[in-house]
Amino acid sequence: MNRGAVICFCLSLLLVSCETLIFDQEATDNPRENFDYLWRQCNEKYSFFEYKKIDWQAMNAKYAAQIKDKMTSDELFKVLFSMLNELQDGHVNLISPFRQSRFDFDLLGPENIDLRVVRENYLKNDYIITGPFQHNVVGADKKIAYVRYNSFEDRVAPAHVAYILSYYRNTQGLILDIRQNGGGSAANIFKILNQLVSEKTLLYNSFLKSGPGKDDFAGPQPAYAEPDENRFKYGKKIAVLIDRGTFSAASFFALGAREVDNMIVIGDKSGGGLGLPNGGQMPNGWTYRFSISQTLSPAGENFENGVPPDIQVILTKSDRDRGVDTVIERAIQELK
Amino acid sequence: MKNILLLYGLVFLGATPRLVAQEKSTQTDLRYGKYLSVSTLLDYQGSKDQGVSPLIYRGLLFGGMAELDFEGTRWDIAIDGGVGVGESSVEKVATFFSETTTFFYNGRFLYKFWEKDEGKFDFRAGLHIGGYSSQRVTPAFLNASLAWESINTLFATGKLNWRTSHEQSAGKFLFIRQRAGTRHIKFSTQLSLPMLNSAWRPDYAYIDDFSDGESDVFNNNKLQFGGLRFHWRSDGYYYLLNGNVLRFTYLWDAQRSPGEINRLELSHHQVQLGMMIRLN
Repeated sequence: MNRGAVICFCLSLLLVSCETLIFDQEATDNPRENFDYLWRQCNEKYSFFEYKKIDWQAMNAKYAAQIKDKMTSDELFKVLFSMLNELQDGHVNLISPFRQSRFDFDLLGPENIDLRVVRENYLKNDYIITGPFQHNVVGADKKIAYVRYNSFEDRVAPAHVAYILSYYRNTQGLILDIRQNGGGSAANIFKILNQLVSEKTLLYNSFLKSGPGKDDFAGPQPAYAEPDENRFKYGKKIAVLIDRGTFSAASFFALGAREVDNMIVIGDKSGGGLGLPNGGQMPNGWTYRFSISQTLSPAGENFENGVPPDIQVILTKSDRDRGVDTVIERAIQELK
Repeated sequence: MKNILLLYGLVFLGATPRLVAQEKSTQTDLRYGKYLSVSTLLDYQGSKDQGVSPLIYRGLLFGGMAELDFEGTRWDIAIDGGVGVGESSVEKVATFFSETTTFFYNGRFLYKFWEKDEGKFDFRAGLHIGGYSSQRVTPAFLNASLAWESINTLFATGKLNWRTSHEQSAGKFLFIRQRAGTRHIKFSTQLSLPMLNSAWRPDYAYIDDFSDGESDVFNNNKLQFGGLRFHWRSDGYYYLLNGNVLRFTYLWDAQRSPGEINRLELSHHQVQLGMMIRLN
């Protein structure tokens, strides 16, 4: 029995030691390893190097030289943050327990909205709140509906949209304002557009990274808006207002709106953000995210740097000073 | 955690004496038979999912298993399934945790090829189909926070059994009444080596393409064959006079999925404590 027990014990030690065959060594946590790991992850998975004409190898040379063996966490963060900012992508973040990096995509253009002007002179005091939407009628003869949607993080129900369209059934057109809407859930895109389209409409195609090569993408995965059977058939023209603060899901919405027959996009170029961000962790425990897909218009155009409006309108200082929103006024003209 | 441990204790303290006190079975050879086994498990899991992190997440899963077991003089067939739930974390970032739910399942089909001393020792070999499917949620990984994976393997397996017995006199062990009689004990150790290993888990991008407004985590999962896996278990059986069996199991399972960039490395050290209820 003793011999058997010894054999069993030795066998168990032998087998459990096989775990080292299964597990690679855990990554070393030092500035150099962390830098290399993050650079390599981006190199293999980031989706816009070609489109943005970024020489990522050159970035390695530029920033690796700034990595020192005994640098502080704060110093390391600044170097990695600067390297990631070269991607000029609002979907890129580095998150440590003490700091979070970001790219300010909305500062690439003028802020094309003055929320105080919109609040005081367009929504006014008698505006209505329906779900995530604030709305009222605007224009000299109150014949245009104005709907403000602040964030795609705020959940939309088809009933919200149906109510608004029904409520404004006698208007000449509707303005949907998604300026400074930084995105959120893509599901809300379809909850809105399925109420607005009259036939199945291809909005865009998405391509997901499928390998380490710069051109390794799977897809296309098409995204369609399909008319909701219970929708209220509004039938009038709809203007979508965008600016540089229109980002991610809001940019996807603007990209899709360009494809819908009765919709027109007005304002400034959007902030882009048409790549889906993933997430991951570095050897020191910090986390990151960056874009891992590309979304193209049905015609194959890549608007990652900003979805262009059908009509470019920039808010002027003189209008702003007079309490006028240049973009809304232009939309009113287009809808009459 | 305290509540789970308390529940474990109550289940065993409550169930064991009643089962032990059952009347003696009329079966003549208690060492062989058909059993329905119910056991609790404690699993120490380590995982490194290189798709999202180079760090090893470690933690405990708690759960239970059920097993149908036919143990004959020639064949040994067992089918089991169970679930473990728990959290794992990485030491250097204590605030990050991964919630894991794992379903374990196995089918083992073994035939006796050798015996010695009138069945005191025997060696059985055959096939073992073993797998686990799990869901891991790690909120810190943002859009890549959710992973579904299923690891399934066809093994060649070998099992060594050693049976012994001793005479038990009447008395009490702790608060359990002990009847006089012959008590059979069995030790077995079983090693399974992979013939075909598969992993169905998040592919390169790790996330589902949710730009169409629908999030289906299975969309970006991919089935791959290859990698490595070892499975080893050792059991101790204590046969009661009523035909039921108390079983203690230690199990080690470790696997390395195919691929390089998104490879999953996973190990389980699992302890099971269970009651095998004789069905015939």
